[in-house]
Amino acid sequence: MKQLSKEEEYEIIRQVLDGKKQSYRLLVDQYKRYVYSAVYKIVGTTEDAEDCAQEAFVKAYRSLGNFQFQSKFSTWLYRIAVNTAISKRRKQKFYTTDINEVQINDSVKNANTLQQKEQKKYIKMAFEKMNESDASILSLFYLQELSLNEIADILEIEVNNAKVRLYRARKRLADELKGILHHEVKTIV
Amino acid sequence: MEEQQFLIFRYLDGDASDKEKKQVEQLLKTDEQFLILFQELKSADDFFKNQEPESPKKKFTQSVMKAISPERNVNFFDSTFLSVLGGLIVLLVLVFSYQMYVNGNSFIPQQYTSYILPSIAVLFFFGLVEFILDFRAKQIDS
Repeated sequence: MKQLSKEEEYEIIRQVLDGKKQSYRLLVDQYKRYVYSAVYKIVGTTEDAEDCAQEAFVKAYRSLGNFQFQSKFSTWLYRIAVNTAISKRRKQKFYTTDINEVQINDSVKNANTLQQKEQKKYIKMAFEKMNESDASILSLFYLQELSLNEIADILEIEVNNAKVRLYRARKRLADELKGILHHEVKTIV
Repeated sequence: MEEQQFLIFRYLDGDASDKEKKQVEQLLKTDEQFLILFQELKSADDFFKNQEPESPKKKFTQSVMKAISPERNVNFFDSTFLSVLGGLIVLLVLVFSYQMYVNGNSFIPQQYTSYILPSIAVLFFFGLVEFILDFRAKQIDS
């Protein structure tokens, strides 16, 4: 799908605000994978991620009148999505780990290898060990779509603070991954 | 230790200055602990970075668009049924009145009875317009 420019996004938003509701579909199609991926890492299950992503798009639509046309739409949308996911995660009374529930992208399902499934499983396990603050910043960072400035903007923190938080979270994630893989190897042996 | 981690991350992200790059490359050659830390952080980073964004279900966009479109009042009892019932009652009253008028025992004053048939026609016309518009709106919504 063609990446929309900031101006194109602004034009679509203006159309939606003028009553052309169907234009919002373009924005949903543009960002659904990124929003879904980001919230999935925070909430941990496909079902919750689906709910969260949908809720985020609906909230964004309803607040579109408050959009200031200064930042990128994606930055604004991710902020809504991350806050929705964090609030969902807090509400989860029983945050169960189902390591068999691995989301497989439809488009690569046929070509998907066991290695990719395993990789997704370990990523899910490692993210589940992270607290919500780490999970949020890491999920945005690993989308590989956002600059550190944008991440800081989304999380409403200073850039330097975001940098330090991100480095520490990456180290913790690396440690968790190491622990998980070490445990898996020991189990196999 | 944390400073070394931060240095590695800056290097991996391409944010390190020339001086820092040289420092990292030097440490990789001379400091085994640094080399291990570098490999751990780099492989973990590669592991998480090489991921395609996940996709939600195929009907995700449709669900969002449905969620942002408040359902029109399509309750059968609330709309169509009551409209038809109301229309029939009005029609029956008018036909009954007309019959009474024809039979010469109308309770409606004579000067008004000539309006009955045009009134039926007008009511029928507006009822039809309302039905068509409602039907079209439901089509657009769906």
